[in-house]
Amino acid sequence: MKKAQIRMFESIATMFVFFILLVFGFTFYSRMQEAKFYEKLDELNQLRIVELAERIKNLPELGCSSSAILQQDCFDIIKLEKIKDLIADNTEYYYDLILHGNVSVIEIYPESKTYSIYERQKEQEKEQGLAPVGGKVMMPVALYDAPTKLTHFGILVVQSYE
Amino acid sequence: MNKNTMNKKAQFEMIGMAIVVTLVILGMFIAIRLQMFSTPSTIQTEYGQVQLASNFLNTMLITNTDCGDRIMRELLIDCAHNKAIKCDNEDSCTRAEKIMDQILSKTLDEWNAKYLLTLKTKGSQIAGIDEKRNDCVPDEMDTEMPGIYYYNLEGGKTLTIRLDLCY
Repeated sequence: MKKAQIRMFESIATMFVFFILLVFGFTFYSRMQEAKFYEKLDELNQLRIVELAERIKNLPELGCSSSAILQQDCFDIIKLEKIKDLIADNTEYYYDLILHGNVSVIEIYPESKTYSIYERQKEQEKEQGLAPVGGKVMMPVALYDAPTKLTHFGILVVQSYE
Repeated sequence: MNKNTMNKKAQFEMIGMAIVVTLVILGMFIAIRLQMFSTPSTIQTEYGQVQLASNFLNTMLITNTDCGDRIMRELLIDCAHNKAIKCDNEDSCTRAEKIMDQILSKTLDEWNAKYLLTLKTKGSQIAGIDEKRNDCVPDEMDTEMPGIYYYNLEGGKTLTIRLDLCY
């Protein structure tokens, strides 16, 4: 009888340890998968910011044109000054395009000027007074001043809060 | 089976179980370490390096300067050629270098980007403008596609303007 009890105890102990190991292993695997998921999410986020920056760079609402031909990597300064009003009148359309983020153009030479084009923070962060965080892309762009026909040096800054 | 044999058997079994548990924990530690040192996504970095170099040069070269509204490209070509253009009391090289420094200080320097900007004819930096470097040695470090522009000068020379970004 005692022998049988010892054997039973041995079996129970083995199964107990086995299940502990199983739970441990499963938890560990879940954590690894979670880490991989966040890594993938970060990669997709980066792709998204880069894609967004390219789309904004090629917006006809901002682009310079000569003889009705759009020029690459160039913003018209007059359009830059007016686009904020355009965005305010078409909030939904631009929200669908940009979601939560900040888009601005900084003139570097000859003057120092900032044109804020779009900013939308997440409501929750705004209420809690939290500073928004997100990936950022900066691209040099030419800023064309049509009245003077001069080109300035600028930087397009696109930040996504997603 | 006597008591001694049974005890030994039990001890061996416990040792075996301890080895299995140790191996499992060791395996987990190794996996965690590998995960910690996995390289982060570089999409943004790679895109930035390729686009930034050529976009930067292209934009800078077409920027109008305060030297009779000439664009930077004209000043740099003149600097490499015969320095005929005068900008108030300065020659084209001095003015172009000042403007370049101004732009670089507010952009690549501020972003802590590692770069090397050279203007060369026949393999040597042109006189009048120093090469602009911020901790970048392209032959010794990883770089992406540089921004390069070539301009033919009189006398069969070619001006090569090149921007390398290191990371």
